[in-house]
Amino acid sequence: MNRSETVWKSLGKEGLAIRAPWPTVGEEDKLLTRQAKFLRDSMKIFRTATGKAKKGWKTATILVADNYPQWKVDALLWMQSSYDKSTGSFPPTFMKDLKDWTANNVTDKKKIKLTMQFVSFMKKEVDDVGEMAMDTTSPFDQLAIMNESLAYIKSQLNLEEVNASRVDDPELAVPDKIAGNVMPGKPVLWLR
Amino acid sequence: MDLRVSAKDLIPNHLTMALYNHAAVWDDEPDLWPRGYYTNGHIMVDAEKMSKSKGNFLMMLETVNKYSADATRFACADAGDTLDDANFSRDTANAAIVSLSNESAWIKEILVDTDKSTLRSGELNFMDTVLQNETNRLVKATEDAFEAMQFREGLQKGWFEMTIARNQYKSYCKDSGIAVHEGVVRKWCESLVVIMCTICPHW
Repeated sequence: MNRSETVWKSLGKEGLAIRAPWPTVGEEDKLLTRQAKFLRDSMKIFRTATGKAKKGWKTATILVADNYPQWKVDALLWMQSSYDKSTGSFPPTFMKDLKDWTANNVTDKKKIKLTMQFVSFMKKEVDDVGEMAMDTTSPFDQLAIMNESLAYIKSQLNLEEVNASRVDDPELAVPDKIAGNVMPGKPVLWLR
Repeated sequence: MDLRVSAKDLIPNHLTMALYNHAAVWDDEPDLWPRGYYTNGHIMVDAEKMSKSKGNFLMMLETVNKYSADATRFACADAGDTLDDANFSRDTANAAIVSLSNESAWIKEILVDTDKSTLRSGELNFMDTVLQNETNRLVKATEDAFEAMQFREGLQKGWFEMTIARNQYKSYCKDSGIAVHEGVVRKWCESLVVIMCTICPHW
């Protein structure tokens, strides 16, 4: 007898697996898919951080941020205003509009390039997951995911101890240089 | 005729002529004309063209005897969906023999041989909901791919991404020192078995 049929029977199923109807499943929860991706991407960031870290650090803290800096919030709000909810897309003139908008609204010349890069990156995110990618705050509780996953993170990264915190937690007094790298969806593993 | 499956080198001659013939014979009955053609590229073996001089021919019976029918079908599905040349990889066929057997062993181990009382049930934790959601997403994505005759894409979602999701779930549970959730794992297993029956019906 085939293995798949043996397995099927041992799972207590009637009839043959090859005749079984296609599995009925619930709708995908796209926000949950993003949360899962958040954890996967975070692990990648943390692996790089432990690989690059100078020897001798004693404490590992995961820093998460719920908000973007103001210039990114401005860019996201502009994207939201340009997005057509009924068709779920941006206008074909999007990149040109972006150029005009940055020229008129971003005063710091250096920020123009950064804004363009940020917006085109976020546009891809919107194509991927929909308009929620333009939320100006994290649409889910990053700290809760990190806290629930600490044992997994610790073991995957071979750390002795790790904890997680909001980057603006006053008790931590995170230096600006480190804090500036923490974004919604992009945590930082702070080794010190 | 609903569908004629052929190769891309026949588009400019045979397949086009067949359309002309149908149109000429049944000129006022277009519902008798072919409704669909599907063509694929040539089949390569390990990224090389099969040729007499190289002796790298794979014959159907020989291949089935060597890798089993299912591993052969698996490697064919993985060979490619587009008009580009499809690549039958011997490594893929070999790896399929092992991974198919490992998966059925794992399913049996976790849901049949393991004492049920050692598995978790009831409330779902974060990673339980993630695996459940991945199962939902991938079953649907596989269905969409198969309906469009995108078998490589379907295999990618329905086998490779399914097993990746489960592997992450497994290590998450192990590292967190908790048992896997019976209901969530059962749904994943049942879905995988049915999905894979399409490509590997003898598995």
